[in-house]
Amino acid sequence: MEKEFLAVRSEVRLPFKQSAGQYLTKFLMELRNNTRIIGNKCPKCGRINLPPNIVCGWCKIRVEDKPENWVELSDKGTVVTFLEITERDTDPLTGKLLGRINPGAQILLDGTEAGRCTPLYHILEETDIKKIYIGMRVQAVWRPREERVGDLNDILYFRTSSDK
Amino acid sequence: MSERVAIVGVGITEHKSKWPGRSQVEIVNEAVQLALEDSQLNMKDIDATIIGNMELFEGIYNVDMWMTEGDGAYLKSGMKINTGGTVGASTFFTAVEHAGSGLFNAVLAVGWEKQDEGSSAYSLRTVHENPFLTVVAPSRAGVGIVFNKWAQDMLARKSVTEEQIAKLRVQASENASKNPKAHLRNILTVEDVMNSPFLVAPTVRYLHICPTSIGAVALIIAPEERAKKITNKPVWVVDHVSSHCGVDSMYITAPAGGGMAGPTFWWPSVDSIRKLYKRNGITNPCKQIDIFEFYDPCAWVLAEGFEIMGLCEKNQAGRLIDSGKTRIDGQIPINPSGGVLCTNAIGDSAMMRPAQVALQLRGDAGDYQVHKKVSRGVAHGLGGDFATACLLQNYL
Repeated sequence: MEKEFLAVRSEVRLPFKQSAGQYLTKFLMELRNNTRIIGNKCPKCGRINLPPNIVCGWCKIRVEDKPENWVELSDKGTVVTFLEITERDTDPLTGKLLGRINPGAQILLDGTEAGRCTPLYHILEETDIKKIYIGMRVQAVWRPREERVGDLNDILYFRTSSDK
Repeated sequence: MSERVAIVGVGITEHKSKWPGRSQVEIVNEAVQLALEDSQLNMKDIDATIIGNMELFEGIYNVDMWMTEGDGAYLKSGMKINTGGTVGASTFFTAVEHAGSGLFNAVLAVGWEKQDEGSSAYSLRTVHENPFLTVVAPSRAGVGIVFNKWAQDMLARKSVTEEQIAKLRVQASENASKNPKAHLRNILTVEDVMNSPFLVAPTVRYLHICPTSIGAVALIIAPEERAKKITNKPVWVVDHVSSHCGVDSMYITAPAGGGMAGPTFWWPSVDSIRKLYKRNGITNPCKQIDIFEFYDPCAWVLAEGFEIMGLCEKNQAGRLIDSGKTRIDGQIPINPSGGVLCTNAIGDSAMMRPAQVALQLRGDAGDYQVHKKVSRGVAHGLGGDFATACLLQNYL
């Protein structure tokens, strides 16, 4: 016979507020205001941080918030890895499935080099995973201005593109 | 460090998925008792206790204060360590540094996790889902998302096939079947693994990844003169290295490198192992090291681990798997305990690796003792916040 255990129910709510900070705010505002993806570039090694960082992890120097250290990146790119979440999370209070069904991908934006810039992690418009492959060309589809809030979801998804 | 140090006691509890009848304190106490028994010491012989646990996973803050009820640390020196998957290793290294300082005669290190008490998947989300940058569906896949990247990279550069990964997982299950303290001990078949459902399509299947386990590991570490008096089988901690991860060198936002999309999640592992080898004159690990315990939360990660540890050339991991050399009866035994793949109580997993190397170097691993004679072993750890590597020997 299975042993019965006494249980006490307890629930803790931990609301948090976090500051995005100077660098990340600049990144998010460019998404909202100008549909532009920007990163910052280490003046010493030239690696691009996406999203922008205060310090270059490799050179251990500050990447100052100066115009010459900011770079505009293309919103077109190449899929370097992709995935489909088969185990989506549920909201612990409602049991509702969270998130969107679209497959995710790491996208190396045009003009950047693997190993010297972070690929952007976003979702793809294509929902059939069999049609997705490493090397696939994609293009960002932006939300209209009234729906953009200063968040990576200001890009609705990346659409498969036919260009090379 | 001013003193050389050795592991003089090892205590490992059994590992399970659910343990409603015992509290965290009681499970930790069991590991501590086993280590004291192994070393023939008493709690009063211990000067400092270092504990390691991902308290966020069980939802307890300042768990060190509660733990004194079971780990004997009340009014002793020591501290709590909390570094993600490597917490067991960082805790062990902290204890090693305490013992090596010359200030303590015997230091107890304990790592544990009781994952039926919270949601580690939820807690892990905050690592790879920066609240400002969350786009992809939140998922119970947790770190599985990262492993998919590794796997796709390995497949793209033809380092392994899915079938070789399945063989590796089967090998781990055979090892764990002989380890009475391991969690998953059923022997699998290649078909079992290749047909298991996807956790993260298109690469990571359920049987590729580790379980969530409950258990604890305790190690007692002493400086040289004391160690020699306590035991005739001290296991010397010759060197240890940690190499820090960063958010941008880790999970989802990792910069690409190595293959087309080589995740730099491996940079800290590569770095810590390189430094360990360089500092200790290891240029041919296959010949100079007898046994390896690599921190393998996923079979794909273990395969890449062969390359990271320099046991094969780049893109040759699959061939090494097929050769059978990494088996318990092989020339380069790897994870004879079954590894993290078969047992993962997060707080103890990275301490389990040096603990298992120590048992092997003492000849105390019972049914899963490797067949060749061993005197030198490397134990590795990975996860937040670093990767770690250490070198153990049964001679000075």
